[in-house]
Amino acid sequence: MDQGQSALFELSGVTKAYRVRAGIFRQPRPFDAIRNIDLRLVPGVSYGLVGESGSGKSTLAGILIGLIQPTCGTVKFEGQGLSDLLRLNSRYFRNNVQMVFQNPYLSLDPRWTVRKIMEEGIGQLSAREKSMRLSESLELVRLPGEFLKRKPRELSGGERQRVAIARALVMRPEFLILDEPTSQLDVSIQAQVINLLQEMLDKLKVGLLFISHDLALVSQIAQEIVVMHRGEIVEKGLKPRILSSPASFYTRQLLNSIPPWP
Amino acid sequence: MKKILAASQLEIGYRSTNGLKKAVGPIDFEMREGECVGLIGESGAGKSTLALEILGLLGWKSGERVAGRLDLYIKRDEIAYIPQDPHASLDPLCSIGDHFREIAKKNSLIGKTLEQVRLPLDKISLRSYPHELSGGMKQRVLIAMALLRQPKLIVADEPTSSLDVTLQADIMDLFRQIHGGGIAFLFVTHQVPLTRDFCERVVIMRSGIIAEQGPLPHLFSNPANPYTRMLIDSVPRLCLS
Repeated sequence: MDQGQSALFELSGVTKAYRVRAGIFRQPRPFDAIRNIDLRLVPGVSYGLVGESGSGKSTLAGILIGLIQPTCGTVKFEGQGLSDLLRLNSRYFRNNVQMVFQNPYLSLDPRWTVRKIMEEGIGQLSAREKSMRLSESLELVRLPGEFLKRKPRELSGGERQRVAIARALVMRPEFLILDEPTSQLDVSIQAQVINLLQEMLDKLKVGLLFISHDLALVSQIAQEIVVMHRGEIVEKGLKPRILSSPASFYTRQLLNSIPPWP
Repeated sequence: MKKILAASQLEIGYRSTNGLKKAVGPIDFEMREGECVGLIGESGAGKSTLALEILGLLGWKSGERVAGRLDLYIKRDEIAYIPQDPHASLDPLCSIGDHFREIAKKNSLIGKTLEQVRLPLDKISLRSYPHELSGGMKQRVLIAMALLRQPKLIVADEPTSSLDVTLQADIMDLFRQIHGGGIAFLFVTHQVPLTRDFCERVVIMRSGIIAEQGPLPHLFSNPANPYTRMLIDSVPRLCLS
């Protein structure tokens, strides 16, 4: 999509190798979590990243957000090398790219109130601006303002994940990475979070990378789908094309694994 | 068909420092020979508690039956269990063969069961240890262990929720095949679609009680309870446009 548009993220030849041990006394050997990834993400598009466990989805997300250093290859954000950008102007990058993690029971500090959690990234703003941003993003995730006083233990799983999304939105990011945001939640809460994300996509012009192993779930959100298998991108394209005529054998296998419904 | 278990006005609670907290009940529930029942509910609905009570393992979690009764018309030995997390359910210090031999002494039976669960013996040997196996393989080992008891009822508590989607489809195929052999299943899950082609009847649980139960596919097309309707609507569908 939009080949002419300037890319938000541009990855070329990105490989990440971890050193793993097969046994306690064995020498560690390198294992490529992702191998030779070329990926171009443009602003304002919602991408879905599907793959099974061990396919390298979360490693790729970690590289995009700058938490994991690739072993080789280049990662560019708006044309600038990501590692340089993080060294020189990390605030600019963090303002523009935010992440929502998988487990809302681990990703919120239990000692902090929701207000403190959400204000952490916007500490430099004036008090008026801060409260405006807080109420704006709480409204987007449909949580009442009184939640600001609460601590994570007073929230249910779905509410926690909504706080995590609100925390990311408070930065008014251009791009949001969601790493299996609903896998820890019940189906009914999952449906709520998905509806919320759809609404958010309609209201804000925010780009999205939705990571999941559930192709049906990804199809609810994404305009473009990237399929990963064993550390490599096996297929990438517009959603209707991928779902109706998948080119890769693995994508077909994923589609066939979806239990028939209704 | 003969009944294999019946619960009437069953109530189960957990004991903690704050006293007894009721998790299930009162419920009426029964299962017949060779029947495949899906037990659906969200977290905290009491599905696993009910499954543990049927298995007689409730005491391990300091749970106890508060009221009502549960009658089993088969021996407890004839009930097998397939747990949720295959990674945490095998002894890391015992080989796969040791796990099998703890249940069955005859090698011929073990060989036959391994064939049945499609465990490729050219890839793994009975001398392999659990850490050498993938999640799907471990789950197959656990299914084989359940079958070695030659059960009349298998209680499977979210057996596919820690597996990838493609593996999940394989395991569900295997379950259908096992059920075809006449073994009754109590299939506990929060993934509603998995029950559609597998179970003959589903029981929907919500906060400890049965919200609705009925035969498939009728229940999914005409749910009477709004909660069931909501669960059905929450299932993500493939959206092409």
